[in-house]
Amino acid sequence: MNFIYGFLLLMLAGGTAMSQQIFPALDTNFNAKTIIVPPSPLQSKLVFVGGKDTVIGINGQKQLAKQWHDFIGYTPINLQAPNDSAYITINHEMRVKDDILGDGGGMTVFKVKKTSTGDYIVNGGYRNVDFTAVGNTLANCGGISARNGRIWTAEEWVQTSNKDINVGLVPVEGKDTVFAAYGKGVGQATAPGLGIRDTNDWTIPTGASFAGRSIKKFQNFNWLVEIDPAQAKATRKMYNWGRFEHEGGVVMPDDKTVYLTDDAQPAVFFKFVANQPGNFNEGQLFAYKQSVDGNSGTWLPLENSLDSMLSIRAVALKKGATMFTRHEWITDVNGKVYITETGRDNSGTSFKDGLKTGGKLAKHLWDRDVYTGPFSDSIMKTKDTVIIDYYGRVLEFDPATNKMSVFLEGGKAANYATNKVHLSNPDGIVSWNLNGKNYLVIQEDLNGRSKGRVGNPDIDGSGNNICEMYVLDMSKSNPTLDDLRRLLITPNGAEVTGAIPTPDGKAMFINSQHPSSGSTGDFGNSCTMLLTGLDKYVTSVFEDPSFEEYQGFQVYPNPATRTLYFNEQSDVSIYTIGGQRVKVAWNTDRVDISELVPGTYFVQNIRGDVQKIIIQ
Amino acid sequence: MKGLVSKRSDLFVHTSKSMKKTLSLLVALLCTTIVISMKQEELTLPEKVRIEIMSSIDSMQTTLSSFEKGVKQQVNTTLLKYQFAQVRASYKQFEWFLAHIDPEAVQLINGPPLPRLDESIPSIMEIEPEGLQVMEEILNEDVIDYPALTYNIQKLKQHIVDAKSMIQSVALSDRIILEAVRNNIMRIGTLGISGFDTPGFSDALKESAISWESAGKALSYYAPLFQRTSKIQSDSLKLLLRKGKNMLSASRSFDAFDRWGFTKDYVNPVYALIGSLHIQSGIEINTEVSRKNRIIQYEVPTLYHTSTYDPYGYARNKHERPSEEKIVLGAMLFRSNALSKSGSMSCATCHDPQHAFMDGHAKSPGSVPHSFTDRNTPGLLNVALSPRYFHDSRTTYLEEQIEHVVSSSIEFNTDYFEIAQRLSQDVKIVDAFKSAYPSESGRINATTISSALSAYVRSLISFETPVDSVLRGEKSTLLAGKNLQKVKNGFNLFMGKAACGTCHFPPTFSGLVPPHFTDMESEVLGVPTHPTSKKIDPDLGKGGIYKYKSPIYAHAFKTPGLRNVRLTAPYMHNGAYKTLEEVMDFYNRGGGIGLGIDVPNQTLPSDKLNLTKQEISDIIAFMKALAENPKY
Repeated sequence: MNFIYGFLLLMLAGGTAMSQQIFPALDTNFNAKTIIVPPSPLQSKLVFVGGKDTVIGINGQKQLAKQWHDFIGYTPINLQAPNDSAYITINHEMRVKDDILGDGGGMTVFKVKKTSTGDYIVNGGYRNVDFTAVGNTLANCGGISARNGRIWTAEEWVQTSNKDINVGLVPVEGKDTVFAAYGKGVGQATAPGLGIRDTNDWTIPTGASFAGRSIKKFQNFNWLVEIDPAQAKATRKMYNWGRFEHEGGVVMPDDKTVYLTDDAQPAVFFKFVANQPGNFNEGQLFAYKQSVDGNSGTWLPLENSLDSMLSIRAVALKKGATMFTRHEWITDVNGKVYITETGRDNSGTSFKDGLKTGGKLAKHLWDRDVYTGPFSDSIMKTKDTVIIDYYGRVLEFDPATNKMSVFLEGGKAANYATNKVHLSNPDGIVSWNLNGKNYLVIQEDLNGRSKGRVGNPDIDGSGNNICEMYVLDMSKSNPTLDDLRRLLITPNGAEVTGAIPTPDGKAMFINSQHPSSGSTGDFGNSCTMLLTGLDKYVTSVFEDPSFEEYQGFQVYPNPATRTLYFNEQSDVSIYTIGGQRVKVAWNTDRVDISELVPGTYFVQNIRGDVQKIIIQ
Repeated sequence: MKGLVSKRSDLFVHTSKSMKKTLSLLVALLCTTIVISMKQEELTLPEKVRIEIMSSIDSMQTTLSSFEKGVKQQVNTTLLKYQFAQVRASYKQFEWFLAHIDPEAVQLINGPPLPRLDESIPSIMEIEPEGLQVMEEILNEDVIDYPALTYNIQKLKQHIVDAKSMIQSVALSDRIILEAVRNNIMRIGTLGISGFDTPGFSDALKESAISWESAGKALSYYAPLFQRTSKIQSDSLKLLLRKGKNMLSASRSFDAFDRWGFTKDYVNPVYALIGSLHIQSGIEINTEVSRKNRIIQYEVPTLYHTSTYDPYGYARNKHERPSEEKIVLGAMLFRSNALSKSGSMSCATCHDPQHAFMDGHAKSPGSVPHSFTDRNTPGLLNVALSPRYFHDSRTTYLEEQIEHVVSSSIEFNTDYFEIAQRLSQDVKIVDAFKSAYPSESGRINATTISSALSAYVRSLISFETPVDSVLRGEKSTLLAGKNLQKVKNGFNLFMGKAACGTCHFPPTFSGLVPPHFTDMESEVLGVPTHPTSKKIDPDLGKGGIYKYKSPIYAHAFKTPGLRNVRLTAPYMHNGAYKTLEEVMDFYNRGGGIGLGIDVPNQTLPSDKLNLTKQEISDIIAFMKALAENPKY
């Protein structure tokens, strides 16, 4: 058999040469039209790098910044000029022991200042947010960035014992090593003493609800925690907002109403209403109960006692609260509230106990119930409620009518074949106002790769993006998935979390956990990036390609989306100037060129028509 | 010219203007052919393949509904098993394609019958197993649990409907078909022949034959194109496909099947020929569709070649490229005591390059007097081919693995700040950083230190044992005559009767699952504290990790690679066994349960293997042949 491999290896070398021969010879008679693809109007720069930038910690000591950046808060320094300067706060979804930055997760804060060109520069150093006064935090994931700049950080993954909070790993250079942060890796439970070291009972300090009451230390986690960015200090844990898998919340314009999301299964939708605007220490917590037809709902008041708050989901379900599946981020546009319900492939028996205690399944989930919903098979009716939910959705809640409905159901867009839009497991969601127009930015965080969730580059030639980021023009009535436009804002499809626009919408801060730009320096570190040039960028993203009157092969480049559009469904291949075929796409009206390095290329369609492309 | 060949790729191959001229004569000559084959031209080849796949899915729906009826009527077990075998057989007709398009769907339809955790949710939530293997286990019981079967059938029906709509709508091309067929050859060669997905009564070899033949049928559409591409190769491909299929379907018993011969004579050559013909035909390959970084390099003839694997496919920064300078620096750092606080320890202290990158201790002495590491030190050959590190799978990237050693109080007991300070005292090392990281101005920090060390460990990829040579079809002076016969027998047992290969997957012989190589498995074996003990080692392994803290993972450990296992005694996560004979005895008895230990979640089947002394000796001969001494 030996001869075969020798032969094959020879042929493989020859094979490459042969592929090159099939490129149209670049004879001088060849009169290709030249298309210029200008650089993307979007500009980006790093403003904060975990594991690399130095943070001033407790007692002024220095330490390299913690990593696993997630939520970003934006606090205008002067509310009269909210775009000019701000405190930026970054969540670190970690679990470490650290004498300088404090045990557990945490936050970093820094000041930014706008320059005359619309850019922002970091003004002063990076400071660690001191959580000592509130008894530290764990796994800071989401949060609330209110209009007036108030910031709350959310603790996910409910802790069940002091032993659990005590485990972790020694931080090394603001390290990136995972820990028990959900979804991002693992910690070493067999190594006690490396997480939260102080496991004495916690006495709730003054300034918070239930001050003076004592709780087990592990019960002091999984609350929303308000911080003061200017002082770089946590001010209070919101014990009266309930203890559950907090992902985030939104403070409504009345400065009294806060909607809170619960990343669990079952999840309950909570609302807190303060007695006085701005004073969230006094008020009433409610749980949402949907009407049977799904067209309205009521808010169930929940007992304002510490015991009730410690197991608030169970209390709410007992009262008949509606059960959802994993609520993630939340935002508001024009008085309505938008929530990402990220989905879970197979609920198993998660809803069973909730149903037993009195919880009711949300209408849109009941419709999906394999056993009792409308699609069920009659023989299976005796089984537990099982929800199969691969893609999740965006929900809309209207406070005027208390109606909770599906705004955008996840899955494949009707025109997927051409636009490759497949909304799966939406996670981040933020409203974005730019030049008087409202947009929603939706970020994915995939629960799996099956069932078409991930554009598989080997199958459909989609880019290298694992978790897409989409933007939706909110002026569109009855939007569908086909109205989503892909935001291509990081190199090499880095995963993005925590996008937050400046109040004027012209700049945006995002966190990228794997910014693999190819340079060694920042790879693998969690980075906060600043994006500018968004005005032009967004215009381009929503721009449709336009073609000349004449027939024949036409190429229209969109520099923002890094896409070449064709005037007809085509089979195309792209060649380098040296004749090497670098890209092939079948039966498409567009091709993604984000992976091609700047330079000169040739695009050829099935008929042999060729155009020259200069990517700048 | 066209006709029998895919319309698209054929046109693409010949659109060159210069070639058009030279080809025009040929085209004229072939006019007749075109006219004759006009009718067949209406559909492209991928569309024809799609129609066949859709009809196999239809047939699975039919067999499944017969089985469902059988379950409803509670017909006798023999009939029920027969109906179930029909379901599996119809599934095997399109598995090759579905596994390529949607690997996770295959997990749902035919995944391992073991519970796992939902890692997407921020709490510990189990996912119960489902699919064909679960159903096979139910059918294997003395008393059949009919409601459980019905429940699984309902779920399976939905997965089939989903798969159908997925396959109906996916945009196909010649490339996708060829890649899927080629991957399937490797799936059969690494998984199918070991019976990894037939936990009960199903016939793994017959099913492999169905799978081999179904994918081969799709390939036959490309015969005319391949004939033009290379007649010699095309003819041998056709012959080998036929003979390979015959070998599988002629197998009389699972244990007696010659897996060595099948791998060497059919799996590897067929895989190589499909790749070669694909590339030469002018049909694009995966790198021309997306430039993402890939673990498996399509251009390389077999999976038993070193150049097949790109370990940076597992790196934190998949776009980073190694350089000679980084590797040289990494090798220096690997041997530098400046990495440890005590100044007495380097990576090479435990991972001794002279000792297959381990140290021969059950647990390695730590940097603090009288301290020992928690677990046995693994060798480093091919260890970079993994999406998980440590026996308990706690880290995802090599870069993170290194950090854990740096911070461990009994290992380096330091941090990167201190290491950087110590390293910058050494002029030679400072210079090496400058030449390895010029764009970073030679900065010495966590990033560059772990990048260099990772580059070095990633350079330790090698598939050059005598076993590799022989399976590649080369002659090996080290493996011949009587010894070769023993090794062959050993491999056949390893992949067959002894079932080692159902966890130690070839060609890495680790828990790295082919043909995608993106998952690394852990197993619960029930290893005792020491060979004569009746107590399970209390180490919880993966189940002790915060995120995996569930009874299903208690005492689970990563399945290590067996290359150079001859040199890496003692064995198991705790180094309990001194020799391979002791290890084989442990498995032969059925693991922890076989020793009389209560291991409720043991994933290793507790049946005795009934291996004879001779058989054990052959398996060990095979494992010992998996040795090499690459240049370090």
